[in-house]
Amino acid sequence: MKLIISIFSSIAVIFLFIFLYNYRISRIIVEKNLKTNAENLTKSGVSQIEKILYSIQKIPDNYSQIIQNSDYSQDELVKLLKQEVELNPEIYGAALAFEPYFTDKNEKYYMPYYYRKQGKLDLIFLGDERYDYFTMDWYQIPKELNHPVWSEPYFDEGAGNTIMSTYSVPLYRTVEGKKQFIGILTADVSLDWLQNFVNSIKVYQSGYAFMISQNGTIVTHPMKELIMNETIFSIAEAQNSSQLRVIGRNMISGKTSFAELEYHNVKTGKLSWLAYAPVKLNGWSIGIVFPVDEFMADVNSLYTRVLVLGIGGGLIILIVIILISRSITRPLRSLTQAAKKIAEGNFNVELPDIKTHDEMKELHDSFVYMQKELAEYIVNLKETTSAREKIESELRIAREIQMGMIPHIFPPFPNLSQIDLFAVLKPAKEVGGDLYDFFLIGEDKLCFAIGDVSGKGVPASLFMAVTRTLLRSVSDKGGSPSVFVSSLNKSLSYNNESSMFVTFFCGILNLNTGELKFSNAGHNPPFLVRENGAVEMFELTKSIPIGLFEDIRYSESIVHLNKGDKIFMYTDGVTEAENCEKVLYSDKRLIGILQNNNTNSPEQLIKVVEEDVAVHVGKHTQSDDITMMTIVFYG
Amino acid sequence: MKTKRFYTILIIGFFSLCLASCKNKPVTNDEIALPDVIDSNTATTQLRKVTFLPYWVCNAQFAGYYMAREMGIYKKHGIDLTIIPFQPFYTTTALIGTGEADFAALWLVNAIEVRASGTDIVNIAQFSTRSSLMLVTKKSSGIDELEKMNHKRAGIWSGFELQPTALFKKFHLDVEIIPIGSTNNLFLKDGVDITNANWFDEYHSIINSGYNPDELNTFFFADYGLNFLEDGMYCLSDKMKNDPKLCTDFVEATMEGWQLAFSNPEKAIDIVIEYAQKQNIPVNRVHQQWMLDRYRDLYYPEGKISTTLSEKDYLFAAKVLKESGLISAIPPFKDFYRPCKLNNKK
Repeated sequence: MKLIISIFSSIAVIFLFIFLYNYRISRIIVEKNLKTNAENLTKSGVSQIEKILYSIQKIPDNYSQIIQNSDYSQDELVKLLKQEVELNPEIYGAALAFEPYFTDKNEKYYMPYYYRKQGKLDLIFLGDERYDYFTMDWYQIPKELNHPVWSEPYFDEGAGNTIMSTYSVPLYRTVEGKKQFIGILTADVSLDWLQNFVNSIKVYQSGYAFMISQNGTIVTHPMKELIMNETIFSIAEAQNSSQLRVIGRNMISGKTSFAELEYHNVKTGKLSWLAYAPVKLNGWSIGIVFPVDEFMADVNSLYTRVLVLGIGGGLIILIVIILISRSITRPLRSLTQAAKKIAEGNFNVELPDIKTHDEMKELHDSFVYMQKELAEYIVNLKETTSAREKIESELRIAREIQMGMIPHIFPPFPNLSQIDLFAVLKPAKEVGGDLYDFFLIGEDKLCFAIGDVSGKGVPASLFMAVTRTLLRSVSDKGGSPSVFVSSLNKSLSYNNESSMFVTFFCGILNLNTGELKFSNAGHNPPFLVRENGAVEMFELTKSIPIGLFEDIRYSESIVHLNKGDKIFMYTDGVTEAENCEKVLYSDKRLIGILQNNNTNSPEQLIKVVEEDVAVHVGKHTQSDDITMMTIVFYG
Repeated sequence: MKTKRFYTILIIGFFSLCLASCKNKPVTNDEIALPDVIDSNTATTQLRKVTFLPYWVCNAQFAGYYMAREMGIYKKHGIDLTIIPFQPFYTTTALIGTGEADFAALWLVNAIEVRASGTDIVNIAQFSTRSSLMLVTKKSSGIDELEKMNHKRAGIWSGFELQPTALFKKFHLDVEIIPIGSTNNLFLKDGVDITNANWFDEYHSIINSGYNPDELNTFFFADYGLNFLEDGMYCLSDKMKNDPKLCTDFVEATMEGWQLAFSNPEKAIDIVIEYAQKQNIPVNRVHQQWMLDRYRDLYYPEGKISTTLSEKDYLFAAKVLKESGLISAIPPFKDFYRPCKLNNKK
């Protein structure tokens, strides 16, 4: 699942990034094209308008030259005026207006006006107190500015309820070397053609063109109610748009812009681009509104489709990923189930069948191998275990036999008041190589022995069994400890190919006298614990352990026990018992214990030592057989 | 060219005059509750036919008249009013003199001139309390104080030279006055340095021709001691003498119309625009809004409409007229000002 999410989200992020990048670039390209388009459209619009305006201007310009340069009579002037209108269908009417009293000293006003009336030319003479043309814009402005001027647009019902503009050319005559203003020649032009032309500029569905005069008055606009009523500034004020006001100021001051400009399309209210450029001949300005959203509509619809395709593709990828990952994980899951069953011990569980030859197949083959190996291993293990169990069982029996060989009923001689005796043997393994033994020889002699076979385990235990059996055998013949030891040595050394040996201490205590004869073959010297608490160590033996060399003669010594004295015998498993720090129990510590517990009975004493050794060893495993035997002489 | 426009306006003017006199209310409004319902007595009695002549084309500067007419206020006062569309060739003198117009709105100085030239008109109510006339310069011209107008050219409406001339004379300024028509185009095209403008009208037109208020300097005549009062209500003195009740009813209805217009500016502007469009007069809402707002400032400075003309204001304007030679003698104030007795109710 995690895999599916990470793969799919990575693909989605990459796709989204590519999509957004592409979309952004496409928009930039479209915007760039739009700007070029806007520039071309606006420039070509302006150039066409100027071409027409220029051709109209030429007419009164030319006539003004004729009038200025000759001294025509009033009739001739009227004829020229008629000609100007008659020959030029684009001119609706023309007036020739002169300065006060210029043509006649008695007439303040002289203004012949030719205009088209129902297809014919009509002539009227204007100018009186009521129609005081000297203060009218078409007359006064070119006069004051000294150059021809296109008037602000005006409505003219007489000319067919159309918007008109008057082109006025000032006339001059040189009088006494001075250039003198004499009047104005006009051409009234209907702006129908201009409106039609500007309205014909369509930009997509809702784009449009409009034109404003030098005062910002709307001259052409697809919304007819704005024409002549509103200025671009009054619209800005109504829309509370300071930006539109700035645009208007730029437009009337002859500036050009094709750049991105936010402009609320008056028709749709949508944010659009506005390109504008001045018509230099009359100072008006044409504005073209580009509905950016429509231009972008193609890009947007393309990218909507791409997005839909992308989402569809993404879903397909998702499904494919899920299917592939399922096909990968299905055998994995089966293998997991199989592994669980194998773990539960069912080695014969059937593994899924892998038909591919990929990593999954390798994994499968590894599982097959593992299954086979495990099965074999378990068979081996079973065999080994049963063998081991058999050995262990035999060893247990051997231990029982070994333990059965040494006397283990205490007190051993309840009828003998002269002595008390206690012994213990704790093998480090199931069976051990230590031994002790005691038995009475006759009625007043106690023979006892303690030994330690070299090595441990079964061989040592067998050797021990032999030693013990031989001891009983040689003791039957009678004799002293040295005889017993020598006999044992001889018997054990014979054919002793395994070179095993036994350290051996054997003593015979006279129960009546307390005389103790003993022979020590390489064994740890026992301690004599006197009744008064003094602990004496038997002298170190110079004899080697038995079983090595046949011909060794072992000596014996005598020590006399007083009433209450004890003999404490042990094997090196006591003094060499190690703790975790490899520190030995030591003779010194043993002596301390013996001194402190000198009054104890043999059993108590041995238990105390046993506990103290256990304390010393702690959790460390017992490394050697531990054997102790104590005899107290009561006399 | 303007000629044709004026002719056609003239024709349409007469045409609409006929129309206006025979048709019923073109606009009704159910949303605005009238202060008083038309009372049954006056409604059943014969309405008195009355004509009124404004001194300019249909604009919000006459919103009170149009509002009162369309909202039935004149009818409530027993008057069937016809508003004569303004024509440049109609001189108020002629119309009021012949009785073709029963009442006319005029500026005080124009009215004094008419009276002094022999037409027996009287002021029955003086609405304007402050002159809205101003001079405007462009900051770029550097004319930011009156003194700097010296030796400059001022485009002043032909026939309206009195107030500017008096101002320049008072401050000893040598300003070349160029008589202009009704537009500010010469000023906009830098043909003159100074132009005159009504605060409520041309000043806003200049702003709506692309000049920002902070690019213009303004000089109100009133601020320079030349506060010529403007709109007042006039009729022939005979009419006042013979039918003072009609005069009172007309003035009261007009005041009520103005109050309703100020409290319902949107409706008032709707009505004005409708009238203007019928007369083919270019009109836009923001300009009409500006005009009505300024008229509220001029007419309604303290929340009530005054109708009083003080002798001081009258004599001040009359003296300037006499000094300029436009009139030879000052008509006596008591002959000129015959206020109608108004009921105290609003």
